[in-house]
Amino acid sequence: MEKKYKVIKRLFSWLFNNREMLVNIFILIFIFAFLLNYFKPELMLSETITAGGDTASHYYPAKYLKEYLLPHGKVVGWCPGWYAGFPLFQFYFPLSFILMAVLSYLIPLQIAFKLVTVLGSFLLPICAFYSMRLMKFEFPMPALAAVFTLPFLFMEANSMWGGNIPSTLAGEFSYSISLAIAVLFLGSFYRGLEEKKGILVNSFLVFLIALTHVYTLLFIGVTSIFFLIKRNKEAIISNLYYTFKTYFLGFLLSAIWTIPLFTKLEFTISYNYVWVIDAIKTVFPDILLPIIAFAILGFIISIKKRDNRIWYISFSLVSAMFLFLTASKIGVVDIRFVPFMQLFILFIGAYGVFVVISRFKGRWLAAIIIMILTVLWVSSNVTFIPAWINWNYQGFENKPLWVSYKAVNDYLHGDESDPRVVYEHSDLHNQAGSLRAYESLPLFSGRSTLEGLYMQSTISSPFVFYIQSEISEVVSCPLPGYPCSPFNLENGLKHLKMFNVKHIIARSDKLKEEIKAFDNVELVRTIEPYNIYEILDNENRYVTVPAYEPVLFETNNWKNISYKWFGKPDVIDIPLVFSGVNDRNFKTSSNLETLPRIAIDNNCSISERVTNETIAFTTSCVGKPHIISISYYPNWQVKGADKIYLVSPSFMLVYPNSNEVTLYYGMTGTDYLAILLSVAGFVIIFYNIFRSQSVKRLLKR
Amino acid sequence: MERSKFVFVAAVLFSCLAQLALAGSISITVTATTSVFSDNGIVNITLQNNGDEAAEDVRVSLLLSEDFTSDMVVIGRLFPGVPWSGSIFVNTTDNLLPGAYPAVILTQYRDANGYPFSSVSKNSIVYKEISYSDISSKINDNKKVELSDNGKIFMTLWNQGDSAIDAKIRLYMPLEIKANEYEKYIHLDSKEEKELEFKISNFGALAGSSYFVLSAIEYDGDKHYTSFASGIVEIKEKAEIAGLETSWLIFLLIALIIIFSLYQFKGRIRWKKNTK
Repeated sequence: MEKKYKVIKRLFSWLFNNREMLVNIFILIFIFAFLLNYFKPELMLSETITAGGDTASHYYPAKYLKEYLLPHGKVVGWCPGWYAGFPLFQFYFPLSFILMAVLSYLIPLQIAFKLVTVLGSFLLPICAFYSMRLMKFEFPMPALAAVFTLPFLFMEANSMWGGNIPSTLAGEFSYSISLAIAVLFLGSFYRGLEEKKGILVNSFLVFLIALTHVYTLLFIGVTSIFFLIKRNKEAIISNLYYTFKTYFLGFLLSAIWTIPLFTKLEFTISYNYVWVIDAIKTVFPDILLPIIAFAILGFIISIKKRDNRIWYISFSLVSAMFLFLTASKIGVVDIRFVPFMQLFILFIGAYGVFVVISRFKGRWLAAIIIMILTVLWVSSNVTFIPAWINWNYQGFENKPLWVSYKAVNDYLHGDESDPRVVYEHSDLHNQAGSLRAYESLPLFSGRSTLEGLYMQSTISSPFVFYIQSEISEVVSCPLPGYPCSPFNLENGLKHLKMFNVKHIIARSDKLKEEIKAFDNVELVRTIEPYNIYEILDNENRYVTVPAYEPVLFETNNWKNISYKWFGKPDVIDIPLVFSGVNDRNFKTSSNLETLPRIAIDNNCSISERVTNETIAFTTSCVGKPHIISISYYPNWQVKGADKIYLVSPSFMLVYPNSNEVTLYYGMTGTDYLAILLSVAGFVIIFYNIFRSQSVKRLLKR
Repeated sequence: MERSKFVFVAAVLFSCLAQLALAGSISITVTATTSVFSDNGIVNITLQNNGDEAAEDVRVSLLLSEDFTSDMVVIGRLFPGVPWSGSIFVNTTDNLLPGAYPAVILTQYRDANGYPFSSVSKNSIVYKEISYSDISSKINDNKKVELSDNGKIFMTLWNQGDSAIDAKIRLYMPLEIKANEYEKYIHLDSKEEKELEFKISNFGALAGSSYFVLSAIEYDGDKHYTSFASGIVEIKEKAEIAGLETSWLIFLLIALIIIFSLYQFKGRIRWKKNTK
């Protein structure tokens, strides 16, 4: 009996002595349980294809990576499904998709996709905790920082800025993962600089951040300037050296992706949208306000205490503000920097609370009280998030229009060699799982369509949205600087044939009614509420010989000229070449009104074989211009012709010098250089790992 | 002394910002009038914000059957106490049966935080001739429908007429509530009473709020007939947080605050004992 009593006494004594560690564990588990209360396991582990917002459209790239790119030994590759083809994962962040694909070898891809899309939300509290630990904040500051990520995650004031759950559900899961890693990096970098250690870990974190989001990379880069603001010259040099080594190694590791990204930016469309914030409450909504009160207190105390760590966090906040204000000048979206401000204010708030409760006995109890209060506060502020989670993770298969949507996809079934399918833009598509449900046509039907996600990733996107505006009752017209057309089916049909579109999916009564006036369009199937039409006079080929000789257009702004050309139906049969050098005796022009019109006998016999990354064709018209209605990109190479020209609107043009021509998606010189640099980076990492004492000791054992 | 200063400053800041968080409400009432029309109809609508906070991005549209078209009206900001009046034109191209057709008014707006809200208001349009429906109906026996995540709307329909009717029943709800099916068809013999059920789910409706929902019952005879049933869906507070009943969590919180308060005196009590 006495022995039992002693054991219990010892147990209680151990629990009491380790209460801070136990409270930390309890708080982290509770946060996870709180998140799981919303992201219900039965929903997350069900084998359905995630729907909702942009998230729905991210599934197709994940599947393409798993089923085509990875088996071909690549992560970046050509994807024909959207925008007349584009380089998938060259201009969008591949890491989360790699994670999905790798996980999918253990669990179904549908589940792997769901788990990775919520990963950032689960990582953020734990990264905040460890970031504060690395900065050597005392208990319970790390736990409080983790708890205060909850008001940020459950903030419903915006669903497009990034980091919070609504944004994650709307498709910005890469940003959420990147944000969590960036928070961890800030702590790790602070500790590394203090102790002049951890370059490998920090550069690896830079690598992870670069491959998950560029905005977080910009943010941590600017934040690191904090360590160069010193009075002591030696300290500046020492910090500069550490910072340079970290970022340089991070750059080497990520070079395989970042170098091609920066060297091929010309083949993207910029999107520097300036957000109008008309109320301060949008930036600091109710759910954050109580903690902001403590942030003000925390900041005042940090000045009094000269706490360098809070100044560092405050500097991060100022860095985010600076990036927000200068975003439009560097060609990025300003609003993506606001989540950093919101989050870092909460961390300063955690410090404020920490200082207050540190003046009481039993801070471990206070930490639990603060956690429960926060959870109750957050719960009382949550409104639509559970509904959005259900909508997304119940999947396409459980949506009201699933039966019709699937029937449309089944009817159109084909592959990348078939002509494309276009669909009318409509808010009503949401009943099928997302406003963007039909971007998943390549996933469900195998056929390529025009619209897609990652609209900055290709030079074809402005033309695709122009076509959308010509054939849709309601338009999205998302690209600033590229005005759209009024409804104009006649011009739209010309453009559709240019893009090798055979089928049209109509949703609105307006389109269904107006299309009846065209003899060259036939209703082939009605699957309520959709009509499917076939364009009868489409050539149903990706390779065509134009009716008129291409003209070399002299301009410094070919994107703008090509877009103007596209909107002029009287000249779109004269292709414009934008190669800069006249190496083929092209007729030249610098005015769209006076383009030379020289007819070509285009009565040619062409047979084509199209796969994801090759276009092979046999032609009877050697020496004549052949337009391939697939987006131009420098990685495309050709056999059977001298070179590939960029031709309007955004396609490829070749002049075959033999009957057999093959275009294939290959690698450029910068791609090889990038691989070399990344290999060098990983060699440095592994060399240093094996050289470290702890690994040597481990190997000796 | 210093501790109390800290607590005081924190409490003042907290309460100031909490006040900000609790301020503001929006309550929009919609009234509409319409007259019998033959080609193009007009629905005159008045909106009034009875709250104390401006409603942002206010839009009004009519939810019509497929035989009619109308445009959405964008109002913009609706200030408290300042009514807005306007008209929505209704067009029809087809040769329809004369009678009453549903033209439910959908009002959408956002609050200062950007939260979207919507509501539906009962309204019908009369094409050429007035008609009086033989079907009477009610939703959930005129009791509130309680909804947490998923729920059901029960409808009772009664054909008071002398002949059988094939009717279409359509649900009209704010966008924050979704239904698995919005339309159902029913055959009602003379004097027959039947029940129908719609599965609904919460799609961002606010806990503790009540939402007005409608169903339109339409059928064709010598004319087109429309009647409405209305009901209230009350959104119940979610009772669980992290797998724990909220009440348990509050109980735990109170217990912890008491223990924490007692803990502050732990040393003093011991000290007092020692001095004795």
